[in-house]
Amino acid sequence: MDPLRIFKSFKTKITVLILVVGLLVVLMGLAVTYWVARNHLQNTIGAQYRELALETAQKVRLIIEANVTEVTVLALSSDVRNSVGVANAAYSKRRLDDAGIRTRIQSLEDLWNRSEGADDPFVHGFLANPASDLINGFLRNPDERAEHLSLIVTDERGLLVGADAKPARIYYGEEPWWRAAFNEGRGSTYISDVETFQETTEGSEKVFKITMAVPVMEATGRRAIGVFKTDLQIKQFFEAVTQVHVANSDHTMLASSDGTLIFCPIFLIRNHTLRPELMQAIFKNEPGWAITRADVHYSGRNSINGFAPVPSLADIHPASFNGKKWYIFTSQNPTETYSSISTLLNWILLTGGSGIILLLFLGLRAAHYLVQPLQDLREGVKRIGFGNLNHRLKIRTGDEIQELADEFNEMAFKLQTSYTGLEQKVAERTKELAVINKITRTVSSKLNITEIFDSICDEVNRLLDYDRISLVLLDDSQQQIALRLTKTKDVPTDVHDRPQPKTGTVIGRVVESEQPFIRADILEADEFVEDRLMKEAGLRSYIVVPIISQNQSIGTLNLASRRPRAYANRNLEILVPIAEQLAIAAETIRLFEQTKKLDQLKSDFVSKVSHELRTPLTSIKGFAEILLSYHDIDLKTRQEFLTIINEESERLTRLINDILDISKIEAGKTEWRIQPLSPTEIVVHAVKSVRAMALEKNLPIVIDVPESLPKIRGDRDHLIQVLDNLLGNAIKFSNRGHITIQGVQEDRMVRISVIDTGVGIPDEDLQKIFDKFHHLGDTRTGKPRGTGLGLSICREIVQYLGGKIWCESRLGEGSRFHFTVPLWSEHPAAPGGGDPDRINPAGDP
Amino acid sequence: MCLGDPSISKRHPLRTPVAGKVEPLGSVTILIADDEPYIVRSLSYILQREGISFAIATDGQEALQMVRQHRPKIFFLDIMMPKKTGFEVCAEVKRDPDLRSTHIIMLTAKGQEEDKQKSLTSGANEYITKPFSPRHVLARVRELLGNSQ
Repeated sequence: MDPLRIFKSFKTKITVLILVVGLLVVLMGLAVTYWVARNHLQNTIGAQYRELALETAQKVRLIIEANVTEVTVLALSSDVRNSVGVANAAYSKRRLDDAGIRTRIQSLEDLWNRSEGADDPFVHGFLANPASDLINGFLRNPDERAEHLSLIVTDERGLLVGADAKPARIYYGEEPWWRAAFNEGRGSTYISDVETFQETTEGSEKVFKITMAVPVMEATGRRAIGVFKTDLQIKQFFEAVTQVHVANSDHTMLASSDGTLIFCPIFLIRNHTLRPELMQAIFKNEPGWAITRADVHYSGRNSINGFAPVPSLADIHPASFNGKKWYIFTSQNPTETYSSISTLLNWILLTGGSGIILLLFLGLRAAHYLVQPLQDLREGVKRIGFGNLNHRLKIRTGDEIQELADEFNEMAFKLQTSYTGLEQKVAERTKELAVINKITRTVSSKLNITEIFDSICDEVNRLLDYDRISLVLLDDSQQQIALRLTKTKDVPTDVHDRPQPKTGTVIGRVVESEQPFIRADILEADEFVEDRLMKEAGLRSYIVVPIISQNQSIGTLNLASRRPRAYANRNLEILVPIAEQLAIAAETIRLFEQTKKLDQLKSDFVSKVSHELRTPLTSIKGFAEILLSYHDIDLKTRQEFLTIINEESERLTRLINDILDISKIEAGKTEWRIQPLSPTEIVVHAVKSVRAMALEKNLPIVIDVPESLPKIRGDRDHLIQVLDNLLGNAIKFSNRGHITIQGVQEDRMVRISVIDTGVGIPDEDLQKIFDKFHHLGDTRTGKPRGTGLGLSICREIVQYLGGKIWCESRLGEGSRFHFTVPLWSEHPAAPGGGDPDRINPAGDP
Repeated sequence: MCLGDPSISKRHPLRTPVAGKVEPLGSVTILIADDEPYIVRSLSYILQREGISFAIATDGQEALQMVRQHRPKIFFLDIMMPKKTGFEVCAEVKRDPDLRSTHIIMLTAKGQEEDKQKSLTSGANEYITKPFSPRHVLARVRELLGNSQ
């Protein structure tokens, strides 16, 4: 099988289709679920983080505020205020103008720069005041110490008043924080941006700080008299921020509005910034949440971030935070954020996968369900197509496929029926042809009608049912039934060859109409003789088929059955050809018999001629040899022998003449001079020639032929020949009495009779006397015999002229020879009785 | 036998001398059976001249009767005879154990192969076709009689 076939098959297509559709649905479901879930999750988490950010922002603000408050409390302590007051008083005390102040500050700076640490007397003296004491006291608390990197108090000119240690400089009047906090005497709070405090030698960790500066206000609180500044270590500061958690992986960051991350628990500060688009989303001075794309915190994955601005402090200087704004910024590891989605997705994938497997299974089942019938159909149709018409499609789907299969089944059934019918028909026809063929062979190989009939019975039995079969042949005139061969099953053939009339028989009807006849039920009819006879024999139906030879019915073939309606017109398909064969057979047999008869006649004639010629020859030769051999024969005996030779020579001559005569007549080579003749005249003429012979034997000849008889139609010489012969015989066989010749008119003929009172002819010879070489009275006379052809010649002549010749005789009383000649007419029937085999036996009047 | 019917034999011009020469019963050497009187006459003349005893039958029945009566050595038998054909007579003679030794010579006028064959199958010793030579027949008779003696 073509390996690609499986991909082309309907089954695969359906499976794939179902799978594709199913997958699409599952994937869409997954996508929608994921999208909805993610959005929902994002919204929820975003809101959560926004709140968290807001909360944290508040917290940050509180921490800042707390620090500010703490610093403010220190700044407003009496010790600080007093120390600042003392410092400020020094300016007014010395009445210094601005330039003088600058000079003094300049000089103090020089001194400060030259001094060595806090133990330097100048420094020590300079810082020995209540403000420094307060600061040192404050920083004695380790927590404060850790938080506050340095604490400085300045006067109204920015000159150092007090500090925890020796600061690097003494003058801060130009510092931004100082300016912002002093705010030209109005005083405000300042918080710096995040700054590097100091760098470690290794550079591995930077310490970041913010500067927080608050004014030192006079007791009335209306005017700033100095500034209190602290550097807050950011780490400490934002501890609170880092502790903000809602989940395991979230962290909170502090960012400034320039995008810099001020604090991040994961990365070092300032090592990363926010993306501009996120910044845009964030820095709107409102809390909210956004999605950070490709978040570096989470290996470039998207993260959800909540954010909220840190609320502004009251009285804060605009330059605070370096003009920027702080934002709290929270985010979570997407893995955690989306873990529920992942779980969901996993579930969806799991169910989706199961769904797909289920779909695949269903698809296969559906394909099988859909395609299997189709494959069965195809397979079945293929088998039917290959000729297996017995195959039936077993599809019970109850749908169009079943309908189609049913149609195919019906088609196959019809084909089968039609094929079977066809095969059967072909087989039947072949059988019929075989039977007909066999019959044809039989017919052509046999010349006995009974044998042919027997074999036909056997052959017909193979095709048609019958209880009795018979063959009827008519005589030559088609008037009578000449032969009836009947065969009843398992009984030898009955041969009935006595003539029977055909009147009132179905045979007669069929022969005359030349049409087959079928009797469906004998009980319903009583038309023919056979109906009654067969009814008595227990037969119920029959069929009669004419046997037609040379356009003439010569007989019938009949089948009869004990069953009613055993025969139908279709049986004629086989019976008619058989009847045709029988016609051929009958005709062949007739011709054969005729030929045989003629042949026998010819052979007999030749044999007889030979015998007749040899007999006188033997005598002639014998006596001639005796005369030659013996020289002492006496004269009388010699005379006797010579007489015999002479007599036998004459006999031989007559014989030869007669043979020639009869041969000529039979061969139609005789010349006939047909004319009207007077019977009397002929008889008288004939008597003349035999009168001498009659007188010799003392036999008077009486002529009783009236001259009133009408003229007859004949040949004079031949009629005289007939009379000569009859008279000669009469004289030869009569020794006493007389010979009479009578002439009588009978109908359209004249009968002439030669009556003698001779020895007569025995009955057994009466039939034979007209045959050739039948010698009359062979052993009863001592006379030299005739040729044995005389009467034969007479018969030939009379028959040629259209008459008949016969003989009546009584042994010892005499014989009467009669012959008839037709009366003269202008338009006679054609002369010539013709066929010697067709004439009635002589003696039959 | 023609002798049995004096009215006929009287009229037969050749019968009388033959009849007169018929030997007493039991002493006949040859039997001639033929319905042709001239043939009988020619054969009987020769036999008479040679001093051989013989008898004559003119039909089949008579021939059979006489062969039983005379028990001849040689039997000339014509085929075409009234009442019984030569074949029938021949067959009967050869069936009879007493007569079986009779030397039968068929006289056939037909001269056809069929007759020769039929002669031999019916038991004839030989056949002579008509017309035959009386001298030849005589020579054969002498031969046969000489052998038998």
